Amino acid sequence: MLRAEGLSYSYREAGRDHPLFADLDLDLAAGERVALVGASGCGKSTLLNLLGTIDSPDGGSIRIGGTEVVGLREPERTLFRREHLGFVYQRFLLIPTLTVGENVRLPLDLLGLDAGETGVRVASALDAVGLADRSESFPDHLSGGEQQRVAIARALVHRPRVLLADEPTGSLDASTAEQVLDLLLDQTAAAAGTLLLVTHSEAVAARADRVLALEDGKLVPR
Amino acid sequence: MSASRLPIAASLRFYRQHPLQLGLTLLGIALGAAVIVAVAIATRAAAVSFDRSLEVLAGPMSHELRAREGALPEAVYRELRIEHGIRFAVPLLRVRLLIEGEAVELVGTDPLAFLDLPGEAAAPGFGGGSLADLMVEPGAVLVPAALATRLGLAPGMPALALIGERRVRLRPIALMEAQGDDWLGDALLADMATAQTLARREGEIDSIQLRLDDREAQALQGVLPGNLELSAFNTQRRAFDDMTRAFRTNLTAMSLLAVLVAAFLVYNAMSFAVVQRRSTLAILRMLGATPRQLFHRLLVEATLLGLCGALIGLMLGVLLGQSLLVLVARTVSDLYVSVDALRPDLSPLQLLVALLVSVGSVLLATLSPAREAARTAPAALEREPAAGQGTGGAGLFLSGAGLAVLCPLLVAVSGDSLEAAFLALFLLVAAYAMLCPLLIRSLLRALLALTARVGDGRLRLVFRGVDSALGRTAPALIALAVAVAATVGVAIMIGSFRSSVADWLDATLAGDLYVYREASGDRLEPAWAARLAALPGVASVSVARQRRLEVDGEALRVLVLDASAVATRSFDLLVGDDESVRRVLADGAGVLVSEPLARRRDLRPGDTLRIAAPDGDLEVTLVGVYRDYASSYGAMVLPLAVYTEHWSDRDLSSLALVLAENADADALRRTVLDLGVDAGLELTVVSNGAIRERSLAIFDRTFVITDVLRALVVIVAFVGILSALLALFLERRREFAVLRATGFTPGQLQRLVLGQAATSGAIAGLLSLPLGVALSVLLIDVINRRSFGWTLEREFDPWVVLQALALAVVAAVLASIPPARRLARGDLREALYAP
Repeated sequence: MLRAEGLSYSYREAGRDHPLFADLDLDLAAGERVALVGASGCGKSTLLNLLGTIDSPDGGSIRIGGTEVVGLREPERTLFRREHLGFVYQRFLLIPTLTVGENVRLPLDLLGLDAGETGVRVASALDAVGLADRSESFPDHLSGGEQQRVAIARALVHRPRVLLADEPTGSLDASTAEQVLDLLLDQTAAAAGTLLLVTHSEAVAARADRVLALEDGKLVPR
Repeated sequence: MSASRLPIAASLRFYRQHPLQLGLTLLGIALGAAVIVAVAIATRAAAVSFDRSLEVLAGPMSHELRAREGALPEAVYRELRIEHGIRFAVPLLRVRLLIEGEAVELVGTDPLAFLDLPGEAAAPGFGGGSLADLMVEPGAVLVPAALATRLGLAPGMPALALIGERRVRLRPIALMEAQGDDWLGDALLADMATAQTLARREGEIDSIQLRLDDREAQALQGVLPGNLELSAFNTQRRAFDDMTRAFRTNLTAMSLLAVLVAAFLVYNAMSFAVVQRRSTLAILRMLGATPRQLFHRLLVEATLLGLCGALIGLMLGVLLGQSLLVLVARTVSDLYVSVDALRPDLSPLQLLVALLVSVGSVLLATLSPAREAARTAPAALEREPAAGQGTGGAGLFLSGAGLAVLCPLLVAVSGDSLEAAFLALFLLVAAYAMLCPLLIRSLLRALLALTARVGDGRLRLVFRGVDSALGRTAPALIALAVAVAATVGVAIMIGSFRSSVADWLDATLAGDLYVYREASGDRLEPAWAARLAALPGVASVSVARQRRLEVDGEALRVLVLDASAVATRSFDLLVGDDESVRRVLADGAGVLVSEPLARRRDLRPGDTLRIAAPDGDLEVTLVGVYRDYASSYGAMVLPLAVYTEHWSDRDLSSLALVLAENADADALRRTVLDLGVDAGLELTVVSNGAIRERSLAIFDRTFVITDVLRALVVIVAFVGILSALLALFLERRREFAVLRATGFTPGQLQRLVLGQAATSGAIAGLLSLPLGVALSVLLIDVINRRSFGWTLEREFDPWVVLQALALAVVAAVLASIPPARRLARGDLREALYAP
């Protein structure tokens, strides 16, 4: 489903290039749930952004569902992201001026789905994360766990091929984190999507089908 | 995948959560629109008022026939109707009289002539049985109903009136239900013979009004004798348009300046709104919103803001326009032609233009922030904006420098185009605005370096705060700098203008006392010169006659002067020297023309001018050009010797008396007034000091409207700086809360905020000075010269600099007081954990 080959990326600081990784390979099968671990600053989130077409690598190839995304122009990358990818972040990243329902329906609006279909899917997604009755609430009025559940509903409502999650439980207490992780794994499985989950937590990583560690710019199986 | 796919609710809720920000943005847009509408209302009202007075004067008639000199013989009317077969002709004789102490005009005419006019043009009251009575009854008049009510006149009841000192008896025979604006509707109407008898002007009429098409007018013009003058009323309308064009253009430019400053405000507000929603925009990008969608969304938002603000502005503008009407009416009456009290009147087209200009400027101001928003990368979620982001770099500076070079080029190649001069002015402002970000940053770097050397930590904190906020506040600071610069530029221009006018008055008013009749146009007999010269205490008398003569085909104010020392001293020559004045007045060697006339007609010494004299065209040579701020249209000085040679008129318009040493001016003034009373004349006798004072008072009145508009521009800028600082300080409330948590007292925090605001204001004030001076040069040397044709001596008052700095600092400090108070009083815990 997702194959990255020979990826390289460096960032520039104080006039010098600092390579983060070079010649990195990654292969995720359809429906696979993979955890990515590594020390702070090793490049986990950067790799996630490259795979999510949010950033561009210096070199290499990324194929998602048979489409080569490296080399796509910005508008094409945007359209690809809109249709095939979903994101969940540690900071939830909900739009504070939209209600829960409006946040969840946003990807469907962007895809241009008709109102009937959109309504059904949003209701179903909110029901799946247990927030059917909070559709009219604003994110500020929800707890951290609830906000992350809204983010999961929004990430999956358009049925993406790949879900990219960056420390999705990082800012939650242990009990809430457990519930959110259950939800994330269950929902991804229900949608038959592929999940790449960046985490610091060994316990979270242990729930994945496979664990990869990013060490010295290379992915090492654990 | 249109922009409409993005929920507009998010934008609406954003502004609902920031009501003050929304309110100030709308207020800025509204003020800009209001100034445009108000100026449009006021200038249109002046034109409409002039049209109305022309309508009252001309009614359905198109032309007027007058004698070039004196009254028109009644026989001309008969000739026109009988020999030339002109059917639509109405003779008029206007007589001024007093009834119950109120000045009333009586118009003598031929009632039968009205019967020939098309139905809608016939004057009311001439029909029915009153016509015969009007022509037969001695003293019979028709009275406008409103006038009859006011003066207590009634048909059949005789009324007494005064013509000069003479009593006459009138017999009102009927009332006319006329509106005040109708042709001849304000006057008493009488048969021509009655009017001539009452005025003791048998056989004379003032003018004949005619209804002619172009072909008929041309034919008549061809057969008229030289002593008669046919003028078209629509040329008077054109002359009014020509005369007031510069005035209207100046006001419009001032209103556009308000819009420009408002545009900076909108730019600032929209930039800020983009920065505040940076996270939302990045999320949208992450979810697949395209840059184009974000760009469109911002433009839709700006259009809605622009429409709301402009609609509020239109309403505000109508109110503001009412106040400006009084000022415009006074200025137009002082400078050009007398217009009545103005009525607000605005066409839907003008409202639409104001709306489009306002919304257009909002959209233009939003383009850059919207482009920034569209460029938001989804990865921006992970990065904080760099300090100072958005202040522009070397590219912007170079663009500004390039634009600045264009200004003098545009001035140089645009001839006398006033519009091009204003375009150069707006280019200059735009160029300077582009140079400003780098100038501001350089100024702050210098201040930071200075404080590092001095080692003052608190000052450094103040300057660092201003520096780090520049990305957000730079547009507001530039708007304030532009507004203050406009104030500086206009203040220097007005100061220079006033000082030039004062110098000119000092030079021109060489006599000690000036004598003329109260009603303008009323003449004095030539014997008055000898009568006044014989008075004890009078050293010499100089005489002047003012006429409107046709010079090279256009009616021009001509001043006829004798060769006295007073007249010779009264000129400040711009081309030529004192000898030129002497050659003209003493030797009759030619004429002098005023600077506006020379500029408008591109006249130079040696040029020949043709004056229509009773005995045929008179060719005169131009000898010199003199400074004259009395008229922007232009005037000519003709020597008395030449005038008396070609014109039989010997009357005088005014006399200038030079008093002997130790003469009592007040006593002499009373003596002359008494002489006037003895002769049955109401004379005016004023000292040169009083004329100077009155002239400067008119000057000051003329610029009241400019001051009002200037104040409005500063208010717009004030709203801009208020909204910018308010939003900025509130956004930084966590940073300030950290300072409080580490030991800053509320007072210290307030002083820090006020210090940062004062620094921002001082920077804007300093930046305003170079632009202000450059604007003043453009205003004085280019715009003023192209508008009015006047050369002004530039005068720089250092007080203006201090005023500018104080204005900018006070505006910024005042604007920071509300946020400073909120920050100091706010809940520390809440501020520390603010999102």
